[in-house]
Amino acid sequence: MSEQADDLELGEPVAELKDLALSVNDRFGRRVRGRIERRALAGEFLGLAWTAPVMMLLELLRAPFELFQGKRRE
Amino acid sequence: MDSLDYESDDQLVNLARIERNGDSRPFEALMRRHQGFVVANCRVITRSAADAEDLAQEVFVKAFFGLRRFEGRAQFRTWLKRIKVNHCLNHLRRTQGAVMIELEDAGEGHKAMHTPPSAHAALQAAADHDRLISVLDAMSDTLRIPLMLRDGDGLSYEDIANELGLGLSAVKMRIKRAREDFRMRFAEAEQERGA
Repeated sequence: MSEQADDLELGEPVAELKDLALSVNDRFGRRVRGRIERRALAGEFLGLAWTAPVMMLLELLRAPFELFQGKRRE
Repeated sequence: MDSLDYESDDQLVNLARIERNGDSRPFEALMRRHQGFVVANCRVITRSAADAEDLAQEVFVKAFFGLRRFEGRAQFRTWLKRIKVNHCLNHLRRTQGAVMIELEDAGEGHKAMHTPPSAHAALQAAADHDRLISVLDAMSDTLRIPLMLRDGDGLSYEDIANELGLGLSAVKMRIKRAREDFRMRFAEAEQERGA
């Protein structure tokens, strides 16, 4: 029997499962927003944790070149 | 009621993508529209109201961060269902060790896995959906979960077989049995309610 034919024979109460829903209070949305904000913030910190050492390394690499260029100008 | 509540899912998804770091109203409108069914399905799969709310919140958080990857080939609701199914089944795997206990062949095994009907609890539920959930709560995981994946989430038999790590014929058999079991329990609950 095909899946579509199967579904045609469902009838109540099985067919009602498709529309099953529960009422949700206002706190639900606020909590989801809070979780999203916390996770976004954590993501930003994580991003910083990666970029900060790279920036420091670039600065360290640039320092000898700048020092060398400064001496040449003198 | 927000004016965005009249927009289609597709329009809200596009707006939510554009406004990802600014206006959160499009995503909140999507959430308001679908939160009832996500919470209900999580509730049926986990049998716990507290877990269901927590899981449903996490489903929406995942949906929010995954919106960029949503290609729009399926409907938003279908995509959300996939996130929900994966998340709920992972939760069950973490908490119960395995999603499905092996089902014996027809006959004794089928009888043995029946939990005692909690028709009394079903009778106390006033609302239709609460009544359905009470009936579903009385069913075993082996039948309830495939039933919800098929008739609640609309997953194909193949997808359910993949999700649950079962053979196709086993899935078809379980869903057939689950529907019979659900109808029987529901009829019993209705009878007791009428009595």
